[in-house]
Amino acid sequence: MKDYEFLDAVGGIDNRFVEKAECAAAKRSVWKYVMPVAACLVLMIGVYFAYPKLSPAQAPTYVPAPNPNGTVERTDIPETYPEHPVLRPGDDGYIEPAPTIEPAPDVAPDISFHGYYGFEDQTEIQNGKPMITGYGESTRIADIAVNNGEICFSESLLSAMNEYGDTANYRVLIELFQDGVQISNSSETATQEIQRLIDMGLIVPVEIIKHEENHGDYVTVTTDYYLTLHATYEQLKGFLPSDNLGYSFMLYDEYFGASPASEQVVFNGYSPTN
Amino acid sequence: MDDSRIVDLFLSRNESAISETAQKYGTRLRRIADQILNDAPSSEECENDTYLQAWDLIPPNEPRSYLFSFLGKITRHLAIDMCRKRSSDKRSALFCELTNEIAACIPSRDESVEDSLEADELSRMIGVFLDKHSDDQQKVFVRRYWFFDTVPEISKRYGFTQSKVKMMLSRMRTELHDYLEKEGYSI
Repeated sequence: MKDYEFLDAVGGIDNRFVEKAECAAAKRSVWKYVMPVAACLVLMIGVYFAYPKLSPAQAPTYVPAPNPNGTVERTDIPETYPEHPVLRPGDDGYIEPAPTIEPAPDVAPDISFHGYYGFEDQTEIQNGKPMITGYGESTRIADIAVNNGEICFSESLLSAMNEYGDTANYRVLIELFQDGVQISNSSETATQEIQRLIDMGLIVPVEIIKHEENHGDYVTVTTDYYLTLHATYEQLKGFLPSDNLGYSFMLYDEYFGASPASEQVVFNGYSPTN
Repeated sequence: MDDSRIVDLFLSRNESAISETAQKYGTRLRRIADQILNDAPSSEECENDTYLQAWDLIPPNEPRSYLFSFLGKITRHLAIDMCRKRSSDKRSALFCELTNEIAACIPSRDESVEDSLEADELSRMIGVFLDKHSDDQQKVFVRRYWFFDTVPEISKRYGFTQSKVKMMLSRMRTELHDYLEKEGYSI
């Protein structure tokens, strides 16, 4: 019977195989013992850090009783007086006040806003990033016409966006065009567009600047409305134009310190037209 | 007592060699027999026969460095021989299971082939085959087909899962079958 012969043959294998199989210590799975211990440790560490946040604030074991006037008589004189009215650092239950985050310095020049176009809740973007209002030489393009649905970015604005990217906000001045002709920012169409931009979550202050011109005998007053946009990098890149309007974007300082125009810039698929 | 001292006792024909051997290896030898026979009195008989054969075989043999495997081979051979003489319904379930497994390792028999290999040659080929495998694979194979351990026993001994042991054995049986066939083995 071949089975027996084979068993006999296995019995005749070299002694070293038998000794190895007999002497080899049973392999103990280290992880079998380590894993539960590690899991317990992780659980304990997790509870240690999570418990103070999950449990209600524990009543301090010692709270100095304030006097009726709110002051506290203490024997120890602290080196620093914390903001907390009663407790001091080191007392049970004392919680360090959250550090005050100073807003990042605004690199924009001091610009006086003369008012808003009926939108009193317009504010600066509160994300702590500097506001870019100008970049290098002005490249404002005068007398351009932008077709409906198109956006023309000035070269300075593009350069600033390329350099600062998402690390800054941008104060942009917008000129609106309809069918290739610039429209007044006080027009009904512009008002609707401003409302659309606000509805999109954009901050679009309209500056109203009154120009007084003294002619000697009389004074003329003209009022100009300037549509601005306080936008993040992503908001600028993802700006959705209206189908029936064209847009010329430039940095704020670029407009008010206008110098001779330079070349046109194509950005993001939109190109200005002459 | 270490193996060399025990062998010295055999060589000097000191009868305490038997008692020393029984004290050191008696349980393990009896277990080998019991795995095959599954019968305590028969296993004890095999163990005692092992000591007698060892007395006859040492000298001339001097298994100082492999005394256990030397004795184990004797026990194993005696137990298989005893099992062979039994009627098939008295063979242990484990032994029947093992013989079925082993049948899968052996290429189909060709009666006309005259150049059948001797058992020694087959042992040598199995040794060569085992040398091509890792230590773990070697140990699992030997525990199964030399010591006749069950799969749960092997998995407990080496800390493997039972499915891993089964998979290792299954693959080795297939590989051994292919290897023997390639080497022109037939019985």
